[in-house]
Amino acid sequence: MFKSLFCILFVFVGIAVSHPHVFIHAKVDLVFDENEFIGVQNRWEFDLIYSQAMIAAADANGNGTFESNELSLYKDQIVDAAVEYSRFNYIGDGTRFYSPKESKNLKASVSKEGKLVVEFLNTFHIPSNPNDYTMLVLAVTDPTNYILITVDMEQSEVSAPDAMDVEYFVDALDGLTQFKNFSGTVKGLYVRYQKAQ
Amino acid sequence: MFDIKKHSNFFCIFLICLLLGSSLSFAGASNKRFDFKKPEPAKTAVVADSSSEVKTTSSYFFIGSDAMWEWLVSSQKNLREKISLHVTNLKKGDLGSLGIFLFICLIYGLIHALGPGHGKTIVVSYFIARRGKILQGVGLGTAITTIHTLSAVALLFALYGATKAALFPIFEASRINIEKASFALIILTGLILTVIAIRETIHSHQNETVQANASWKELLWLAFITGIVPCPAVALIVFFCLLNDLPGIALLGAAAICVGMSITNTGFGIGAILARRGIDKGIHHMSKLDKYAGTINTLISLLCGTGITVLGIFLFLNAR
Repeated sequence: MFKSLFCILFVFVGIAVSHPHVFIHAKVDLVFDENEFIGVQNRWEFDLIYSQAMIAAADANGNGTFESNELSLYKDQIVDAAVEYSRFNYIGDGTRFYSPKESKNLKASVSKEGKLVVEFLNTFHIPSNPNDYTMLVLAVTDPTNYILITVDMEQSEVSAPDAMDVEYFVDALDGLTQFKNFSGTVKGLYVRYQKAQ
Repeated sequence: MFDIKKHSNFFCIFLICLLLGSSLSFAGASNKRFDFKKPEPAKTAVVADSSSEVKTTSSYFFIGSDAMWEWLVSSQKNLREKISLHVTNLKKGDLGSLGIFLFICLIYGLIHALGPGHGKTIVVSYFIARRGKILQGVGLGTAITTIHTLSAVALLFALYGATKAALFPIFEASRINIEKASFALIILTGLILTVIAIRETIHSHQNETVQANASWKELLWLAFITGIVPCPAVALIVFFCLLNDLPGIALLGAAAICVGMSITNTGFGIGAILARRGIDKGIHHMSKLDKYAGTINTLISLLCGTGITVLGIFLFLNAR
């Protein structure tokens, strides 16, 4: 009897996850220049309830737009607060993760549904190898599950000049030990690049 | 006069050239599958290329399929969207939405409490370590979520009175500090339970009767330290209602979420109490084990006390 009870209990403890408090629908694009991978252009659309809380907090004059002084709240509390989590843009090469540098071009707006939309460039600056392709994988997630980020990687765009040869595809993260802490539902954007010959 | 028909071929050629030109301008990037080299497993998952570190520590420990996981998290997202929709309807004066709103809040609370930070592990560990009654299971499960909800509502209303609309970032900062204090108290509770278990081991060697029963005093302490962390999910919904000038609906919604979370926590509590009874029965049915019953009991208490301590340390280190 107690064996079966233990099993039931174990299963119950096993499902003790799923704890998102904030929901983001994200779009991520990769940006390159002639020499390097510059970073990830993020567009985060928050759920309505969180949006209204953060809009009320930032839009001090209540005019529905965000002036530069009002944007600083989002920079501090949303974008740069997540820097230790790589701003949820995990860039790995199979063995190590790259730390993001500064966040740039921060913009905030309110969608017609009243949702907060935050856009910024999360810079990495990873140069291309001189002789071979540089290979990277991008995964977008919050490993703590406090924020649930949904992102359709198939919609991601890659912006690169002619001088940079870039190839990419979307696939699961299976088999990449580096991403073992991430949920199996998280997809990776695999990319390789080198200077055009 | 400009003849469109006459120049249509020219326009077609121009359009094709334009499309070709624009595609060539992005010729640097192409969607193409290639063989991604999979290097040897890294010794550590946390490596940085500069002084700052990238945290990949996950609280993801799911037993079940990816589809089940996806359902659990996406259902919360859907329920939250429905909650915001019904609050908007209530704001417009549609009182018919009230019943559905409260029902959705209840279901949301029920599912939301499956997540970590709502006291389930504490409830389960405690009732495995100490023999409890069903009523105590209901009491602990309900008390934790009631304090969890009330602390969120109280903190939010206090901040709303003081700071009005700008409160949410302050709430988050306060919550994080309270959360860390609560996790420290969980470590302390685990240590106390471990010490009690050790003391019982010594007493059992002195042939004294070991009770290991749950007490209401311990239950209240556990409920307080586990529940005192304000629930951000409740806070967000309450705040959303306040922003829509619906303070009464905010309180009703919080109460419904609280009932939902209580059902989940109580279920875990009762499950643990029954499991503990099953263990006791199993020991008594196996005559060989009966003489070791005291040792087994203290061993279980020791393991659960240590478990709560380790959990507290894990939560403290990963708090955000």
